[in-house]
Amino acid sequence: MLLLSRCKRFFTRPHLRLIRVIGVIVPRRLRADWRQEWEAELRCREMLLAEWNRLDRRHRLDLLRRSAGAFWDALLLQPRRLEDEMFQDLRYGVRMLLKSKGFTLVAVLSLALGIGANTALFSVMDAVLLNTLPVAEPERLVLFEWQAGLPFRTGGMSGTSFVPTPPGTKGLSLFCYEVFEKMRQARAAAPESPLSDFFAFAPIRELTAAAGDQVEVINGQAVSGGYYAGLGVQPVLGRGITDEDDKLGAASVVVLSHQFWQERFGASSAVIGQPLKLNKIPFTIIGVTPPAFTGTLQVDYRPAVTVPIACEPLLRGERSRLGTANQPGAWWLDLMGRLKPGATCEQARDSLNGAFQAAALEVMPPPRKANQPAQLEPKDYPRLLAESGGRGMLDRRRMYSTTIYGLFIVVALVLLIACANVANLLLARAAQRSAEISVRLAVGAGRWRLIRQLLTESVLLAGLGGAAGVLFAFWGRSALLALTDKDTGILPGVVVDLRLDWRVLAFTLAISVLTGVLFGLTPAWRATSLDLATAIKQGRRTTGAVSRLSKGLIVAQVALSLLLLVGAGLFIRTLHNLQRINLGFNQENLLLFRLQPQQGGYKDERLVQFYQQLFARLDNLPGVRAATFGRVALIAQDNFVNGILLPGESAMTAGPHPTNRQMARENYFATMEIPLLRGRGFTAQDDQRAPKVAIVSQTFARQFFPNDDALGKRVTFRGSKREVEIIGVVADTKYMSQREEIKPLLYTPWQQDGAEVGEMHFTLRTAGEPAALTATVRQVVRELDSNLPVTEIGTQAARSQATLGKERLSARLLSFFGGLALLLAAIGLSGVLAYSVAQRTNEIGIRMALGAQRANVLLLVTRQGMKLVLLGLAVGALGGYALKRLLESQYFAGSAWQRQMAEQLYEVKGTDPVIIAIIAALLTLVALLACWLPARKAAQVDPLEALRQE
Amino acid sequence: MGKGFLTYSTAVILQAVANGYLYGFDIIDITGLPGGTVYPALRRLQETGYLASEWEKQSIAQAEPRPPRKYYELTRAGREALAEAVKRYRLLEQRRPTKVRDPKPSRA
Repeated sequence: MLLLSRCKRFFTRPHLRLIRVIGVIVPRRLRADWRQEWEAELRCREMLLAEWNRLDRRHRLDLLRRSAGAFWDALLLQPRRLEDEMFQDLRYGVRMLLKSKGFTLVAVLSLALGIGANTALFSVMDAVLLNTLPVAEPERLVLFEWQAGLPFRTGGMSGTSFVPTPPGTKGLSLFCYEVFEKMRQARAAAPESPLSDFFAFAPIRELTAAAGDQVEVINGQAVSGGYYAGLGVQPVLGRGITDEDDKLGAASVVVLSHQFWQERFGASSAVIGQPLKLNKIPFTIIGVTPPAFTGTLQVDYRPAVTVPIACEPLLRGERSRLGTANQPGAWWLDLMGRLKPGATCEQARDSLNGAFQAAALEVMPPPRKANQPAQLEPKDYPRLLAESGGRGMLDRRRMYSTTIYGLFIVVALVLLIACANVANLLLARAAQRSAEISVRLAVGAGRWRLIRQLLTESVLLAGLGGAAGVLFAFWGRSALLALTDKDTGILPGVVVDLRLDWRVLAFTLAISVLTGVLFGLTPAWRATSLDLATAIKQGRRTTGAVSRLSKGLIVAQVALSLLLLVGAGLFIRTLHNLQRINLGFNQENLLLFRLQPQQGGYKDERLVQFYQQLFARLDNLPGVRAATFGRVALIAQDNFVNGILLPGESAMTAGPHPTNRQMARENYFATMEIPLLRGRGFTAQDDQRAPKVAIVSQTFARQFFPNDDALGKRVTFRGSKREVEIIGVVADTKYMSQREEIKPLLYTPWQQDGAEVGEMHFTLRTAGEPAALTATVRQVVRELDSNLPVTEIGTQAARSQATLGKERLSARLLSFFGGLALLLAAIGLSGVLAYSVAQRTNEIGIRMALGAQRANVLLLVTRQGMKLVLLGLAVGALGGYALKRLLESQYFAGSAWQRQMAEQLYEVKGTDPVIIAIIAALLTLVALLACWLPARKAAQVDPLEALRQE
Repeated sequence: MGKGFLTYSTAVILQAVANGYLYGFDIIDITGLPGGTVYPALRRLQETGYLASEWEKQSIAQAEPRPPRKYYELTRAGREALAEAVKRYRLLEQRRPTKVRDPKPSRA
């Protein structure tokens, strides 16, 4: 009713109402004057034109137009605001902050560290979890995935996939080409399909690219013809790949990424039509994509070149993932579509589900084991899923999200501690200012007015903290780079462009204001709820009691610091344990590098010859004690796994027996210093013509032949059906990483591996510093073949350290933030005690006058502080325990959190008493120091002086 | 706004005041400029010291009856600035209105 009458009033003379509304933005001091003048103008006009009710529409509109002119006038008066109350508050706030520089510095610095860490992490989160693709209308893109019952079988799979599905089902974001083709046909056949476009893409890793005489290994991708059209990406140069290019027998064409084009071709517009050799196959460059577009693949993968899917067999040769007439292809493609305007993901899913299911069941391979059913029950049929595709592929983002949220918890904790700290300092200061505040209240200042003043100060502090925080975030760039390092980061391969865009700034501004209000409101509220009479009478003499809130904040800070530091302790311990581990071979003085000559066209006899020639040259290098090579680099997250059949087993009945493999030169064990325990090693005579042999690790022998001697036994590779005889047993070595459990490992002499021989890792045992030979090695390879890139060259020790990169980074991050938290807590404790001591000077003076010794005073103050610290430790320990129980509970069962927790630590428990004790002791020590400074000051109180003040 | 330089429209407004059009509404009418231009210009001129302002007495306004007006008046500096501007903008001379529509109100 009220609203209605208001509306009515508004519309009776809208021009006058408008003036009132606009007047709100005029500085208050000038407002009345301003309104009066404008109202006079409009009323006059109204009168001239006759009464409002009799005005015709044209004149009414004219009046409105005139009143709108007031808006510009009001805007012009904005600079006058400087004299407004808000600016008075601000100016006063700045003066107060400048008055106590030490306080301001500590507060701003601690806030800056907290806000900076949050800002930096936000930019990571923005890049990984929030950013949408720079394509036309990304919200209309839909991404396809599927889920099926566990009995559903697929052919080989290749690619990154992480699709969370209910237990008892499996989810995948990969498709095989036959299935894609059937789905594409189904879409094309249905004119009412909710999709306007439908396309596929997949990574092709490690292509050897040669243009002119420059050779390098790059990452690429294969896309279906509709990719660029479907995404709405317009190449900046040339054209994209079309359906015509994606046909068997079409010319081989390639589209370059903007970055590759700039780095490799100097951004020359003459590249269109130029040749680019990929794995020795000539391609014609037809286009360059825009700079912002880095593809739709996983967040850590940016292809430099894009080719049509039809060209994939040219690049991968026999290992092509496209099916052949008698063999279905691998599941390797990512699928996306573009919704027609108004269509939904669900409609798109339902429109293609039928075609997907039929095609997927059609390509399902026959059972390989006796216990697998030939026909599936309908409940296990694969079902299509559809997700919003605006951010590109989601799998890697899903994997990284737990890490990011975990980090966010840590930095949010640090910010919280910083807030608690500043709140505490403000509380203490508010107590000091109680005289000032009570006088202001007494002479008539409103409470809200004072709270506003105090809040302005705290928001000002937070604003300064935020500004410095953005600076810190930029300085801390290298930390972000470490976070996203390809080999050692915890978010490997993510490209984070740390720049001041509006999202980051908006985030920083929001958390600055929020923290300012958060830590400022309570102190402001308390400071202004004074009992005036007492406060003024007491003047500077207050009781000196530290408020319960202050104590609570200290306890909370100590507890949070304990949690962070115990986390750091656990990671340091883990790192220490992993570094000490026995790898099973001597990793000192080893230089490693990788060669992929098969991509340069080497095959069969030529390849074998090449390796032999290169070996001979390297082995004779001065400074090289021995050279050897093997397929897999150790402790480098590299692997090569085969299923094997034990004697008497058949493929239909046997268990999987996954076995790590290494194909190696005969001197491999001697060079790596892996002891031969039984039987014989390989010799140069174990070649193509000799009987097929193998050497196994101790774990292999123990696991597969527990009651028997492994020597002389024959095992068969599942895939190639090759049968080998075990001729020796060597000691165990770690294989992929220091952390993994030792698994069975089987060595074969490389000359007997025939067509399986491809890339190799060369290993040189050097006499001196291995890294010094790097240039020589490159030179030797170049002399043999100048078109062959040497990759991943480095020492084994560095490689092993890099494999521990995640652990090291976690330990460093947590130590840094834990240390920061501890420092902040110590400052807070010290500050609160110092305040308390200052307030209690009288009391201390009296005590000393009555015979208290300095030691008593020291103890008095220290006890006051340490009580809080011990309480904080207890709360922290209990909180940590509760947190651990919570994470272990079924709320988090099967979640990525539990998996990651289990993966993080090594040979140390979350409740390791030694670590907790050490950290608690460290905390106590720092706290004692923090107490000692104000306590010493208290002990130096001169009783005469203190009493004279009375 | 620096002294010594007036935009054309500001000069027109100044001249209108000089010619006896003394309050906002009147100036808007005679110059034909919109209120969103005239009022900010008046404020700027006042800030620069070319104009002075005064509210009309409540009693006069009530007698009419209408809301009180704010009257503007040229200062000495304003007169000089206008003379300068007239030299620069020849057109101003021709804009000088031939008759004063609303005689200058009596100011008690």
